[in-house]
Amino acid sequence: MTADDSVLLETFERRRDERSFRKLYRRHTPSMFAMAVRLSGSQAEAEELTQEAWCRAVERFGAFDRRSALRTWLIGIVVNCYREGVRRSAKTRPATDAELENLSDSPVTALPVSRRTQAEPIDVERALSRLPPGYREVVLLHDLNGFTHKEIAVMLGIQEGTSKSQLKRGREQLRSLLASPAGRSEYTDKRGTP
Amino acid sequence: MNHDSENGDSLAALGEPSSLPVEMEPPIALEDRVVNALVRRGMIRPDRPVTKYSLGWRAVRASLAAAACAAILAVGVFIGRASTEQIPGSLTNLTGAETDLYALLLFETDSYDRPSAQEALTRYGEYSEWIALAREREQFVTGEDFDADRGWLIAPEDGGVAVSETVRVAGGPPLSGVLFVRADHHDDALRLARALPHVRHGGSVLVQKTIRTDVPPPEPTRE
Repeated sequence: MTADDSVLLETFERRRDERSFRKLYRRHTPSMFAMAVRLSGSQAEAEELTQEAWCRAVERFGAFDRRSALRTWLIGIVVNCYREGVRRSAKTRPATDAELENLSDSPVTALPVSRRTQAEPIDVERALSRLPPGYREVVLLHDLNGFTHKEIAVMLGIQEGTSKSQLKRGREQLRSLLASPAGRSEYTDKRGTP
Repeated sequence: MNHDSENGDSLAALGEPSSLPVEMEPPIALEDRVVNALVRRGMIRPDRPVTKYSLGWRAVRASLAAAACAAILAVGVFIGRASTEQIPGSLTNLTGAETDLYALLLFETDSYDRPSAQEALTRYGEYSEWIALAREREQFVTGEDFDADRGWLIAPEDGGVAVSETVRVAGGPPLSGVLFVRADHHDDALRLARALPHVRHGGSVLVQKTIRTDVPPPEPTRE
């Protein structure tokens, strides 16, 4: 945990007041919110998710062991709030291991090196949003936020090996989506955005 | 945190990851929503003590009146934060010059559209945006929301003083809140007042410049 976080957290735990909370909020919410937006694909849901994550974090600050970064811990809470929400929703349950296995067997088109650099950020965002939840979580945590497999394993309650295999498959799926114009237009049709 | 990349291409190689932001600025109103949720759950202490008129009493009422209050509540909650440190002694603008203080009195006229329970949250967001705007312009000072359903009128009667329970003076509309803003010119105060959600929803706002009284501080007592 950084010295700044340590001071902010100690001040908050001592005072438990609005002012010290706001300092923590302003420091860490942008990364929590970004993760929430990418996981949920909706700004409204991301706001709910961020609010719920903060409530849970404040409730459990005492359980934070301070060996990891505060940001890591908070993002982990966002991810877990999201996963719980997904579990509660019958429509969008997370992929089972068997389903993930099947997905990995689907044909994957390798993205030529020359085209890799042509993918626009918006395409990457869209492709990310189309990944199965399990893959998306690991790809976002590892490739975008820079967490290690060990940290991801703790965060998601999975084995390090599972994190590695989901990252590998997630990247493959992502490459496939980015390589396929049909995949992009399918997304466009569904969301109604250009 | 080590970035292990033993699994081949990272997201970085797939597009332009550096342009994928790791952080996103959340809506301004979210901060107060989160703070209010924590205060309601008793998990943090508000900067200003919660009174029955600012949170609790209204929060538990599922009636239309409570919904209206909840919308106005946004003002009170923000103000709670501001009032602890921004009660004006001498008002100065960004250049350090003194500015005037204006009161914005919010009246619930007949045309005012009180929000339903479903609309309360949206209304809350609208007030949050207004306060954020006033803060951004360094004009917001403080304010308070009122219980527009209950009040007491003190008035002379038959050589004495009568107290009656009402929120109306001479049949006029109830006052549902007051805001204080600083402005170099009354046009600046009017511009802010026009942008109030209260006006958009049919309410009237009376804008009046305050007069400095400069009440001298009490003399120190000798022991």
